[in-house]
Amino acid sequence: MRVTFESFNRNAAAAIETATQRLAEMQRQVASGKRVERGSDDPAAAAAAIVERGRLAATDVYTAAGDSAQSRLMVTDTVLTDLGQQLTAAQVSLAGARGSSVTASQREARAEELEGLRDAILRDMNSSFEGTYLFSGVKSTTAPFVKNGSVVSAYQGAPAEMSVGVDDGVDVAIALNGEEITRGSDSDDIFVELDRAITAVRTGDAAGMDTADAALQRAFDRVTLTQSRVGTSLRFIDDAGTRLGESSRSEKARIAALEDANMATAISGMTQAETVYKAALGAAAQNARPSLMDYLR
Amino acid sequence: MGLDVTGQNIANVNTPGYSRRVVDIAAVPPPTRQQAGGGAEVQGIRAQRDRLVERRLGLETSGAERYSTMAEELGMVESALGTGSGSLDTRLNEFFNSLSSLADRPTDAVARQNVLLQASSLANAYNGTASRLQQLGREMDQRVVATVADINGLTDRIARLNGVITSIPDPSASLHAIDEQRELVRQLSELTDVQVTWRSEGGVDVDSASGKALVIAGTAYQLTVPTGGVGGNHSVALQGTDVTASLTGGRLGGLLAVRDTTLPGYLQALDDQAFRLASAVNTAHAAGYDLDGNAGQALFTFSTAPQGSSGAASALQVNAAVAANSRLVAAAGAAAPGDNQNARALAALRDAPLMANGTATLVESWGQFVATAGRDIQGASQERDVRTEIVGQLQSLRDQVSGVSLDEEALNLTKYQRAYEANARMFQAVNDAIQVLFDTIGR
Repeated sequence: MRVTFESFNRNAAAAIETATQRLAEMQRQVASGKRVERGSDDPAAAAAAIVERGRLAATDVYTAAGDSAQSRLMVTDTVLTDLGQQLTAAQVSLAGARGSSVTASQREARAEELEGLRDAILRDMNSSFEGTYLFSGVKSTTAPFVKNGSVVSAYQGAPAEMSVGVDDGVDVAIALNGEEITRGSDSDDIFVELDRAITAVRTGDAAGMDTADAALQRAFDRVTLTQSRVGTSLRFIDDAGTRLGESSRSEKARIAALEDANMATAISGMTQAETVYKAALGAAAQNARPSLMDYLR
Repeated sequence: MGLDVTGQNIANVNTPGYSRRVVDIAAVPPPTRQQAGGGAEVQGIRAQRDRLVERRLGLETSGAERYSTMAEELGMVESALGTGSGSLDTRLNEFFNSLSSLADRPTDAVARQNVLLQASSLANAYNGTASRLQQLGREMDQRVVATVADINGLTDRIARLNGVITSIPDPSASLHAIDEQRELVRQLSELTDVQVTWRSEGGVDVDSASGKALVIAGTAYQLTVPTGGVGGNHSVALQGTDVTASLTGGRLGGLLAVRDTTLPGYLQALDDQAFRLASAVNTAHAAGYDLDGNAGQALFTFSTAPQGSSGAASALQVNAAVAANSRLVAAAGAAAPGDNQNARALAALRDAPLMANGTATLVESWGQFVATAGRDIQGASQERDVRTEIVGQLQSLRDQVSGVSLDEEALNLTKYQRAYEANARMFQAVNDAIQVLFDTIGR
């Protein structure tokens, strides 16, 4: 087989080019820390990383929604606690207005106390968080109740609750149906019942006070039930937060596994590529070896 | 003569396309039985060639150049798709994130404005990606035109050399022209796939892959590039016939494959995605209510109506009316200010299987798109490497026959030098003998 200098040169140039490309690729991986930066680096890994980043984004969104919902529900929980205290206080006032020894002026004081509690309950029911009402359902920008003079309106919000997703398939209500609390299955809401209680206290109507007390108790039970629901939602959020944290770590690890270079392997590969590159240069330098021409001088 | 040919070989050791020369020397027969012979004479000078290897080299060169060009062009396409935060999937995620944030705070002006901002950013990403791909298509089209001009230049020169080769009566004198022509044919093979026929009277005829002649004897048939081809690009015609589809090899074949097949496929995939995104979002948006209780309008519109889905990516934009008033973002599921149900429905489109016949989400579809582009590049690169390796081996085979070996030429140099010296000594011996004769006669 005849071997020519041109073949030597061509093969040497090809070997150097291949070694240079390999060295440049390994240097890129070491410098960037990334094995996959473009689809052509590893199509399957690049596609999987894109999908994984989408999942991570969804996880982050759920986490943010959970954080926001948690803040809102904690405020709701506080308001419901206060609401329960107001109802209890109303029952105490009502109890204080009972009995034949209670004077008219004492009943009037109790009635005024009940009026104050009614206004406090109204304020609680009209509580808002970050510009939207807690107890208006999906009409979160509409005040649940409006007071005209001394009369509190019927429920102005929506029966449907507003909810957000805090995890796959996990929704929590963040704007509750206020009427579920104030009226439930009763024929009249708590404000009407309180107005009747105030009238009964002023008139010394014992039967009326008993009826009002029972209504207040039912309202208290509804508040407790709602608070229990809120507590359950908060627990869901906590549980989701834990799972989402795990998911987030897992997704980040998966993205890193797909895209990041194994630095030990990359550095080792770079060293190897450098050795091959030097060997290719050395081999090319051998093309300048003596030929027969040198011996003909 | 031997020294002259050896000198020629050594001088052309690095000349592309040069085939080493050998001198054919034959003994001159004696005129009578009583004589040893008439010495030696040069019968001719030949160039060492292997036509089979050269033909295969041309074919493989075309293939290698096709895939090399495809890998190069597709690499630029991949760059146009963007990476990291500049890629479309990031914009999609940001858009759906903004809708999720809106679901948390459906009446918040900042959240509403952010939805519009992200929608606009997403539309711009589709516009930009489509625009970059279209720009690459136009640049490839210009390279097609330039490559065709190069092909025409080469076929002209090959035809002219046919005239030169056939006009020289002594085959030994036309070797340099044949070498030059072979080199031009090799260069032509890099640009497009050709079929070469060796003419009995010397020179070559060259056909294009379509079977139509590019060169016959001294006539070159020019490729033309009429406008009005696929996608408004230039087509390639030969003798009045559109031969674009038949040109698959060489640089031209690679350019045409990417320009006419791969790139339009990518653009169509991008258009499909933009169109389905707009359709799904608009349908969901129209099912909701804005902050004033009015039914939702389309969130996305197109600056020019797409044909089917074609053109959707480059024409996608946010409805100007909605863009100007964030209250028109339909976050509510009922005519109840403050509701978030429609914002949630819009955000849920992130996980909706809108693409690939209902089997992939938008982000998954983009991932598949990126993977497809990556696989196309990998495929072209691997094929290029294989073909380049084959070309290298064929070049080595060609060198074994046609290449100049300095060691061999040095030996030839020594051989001819020694022969020259021996001949000189012969003359010296004859001269000495004659001198002895003269001296004897002179006494």
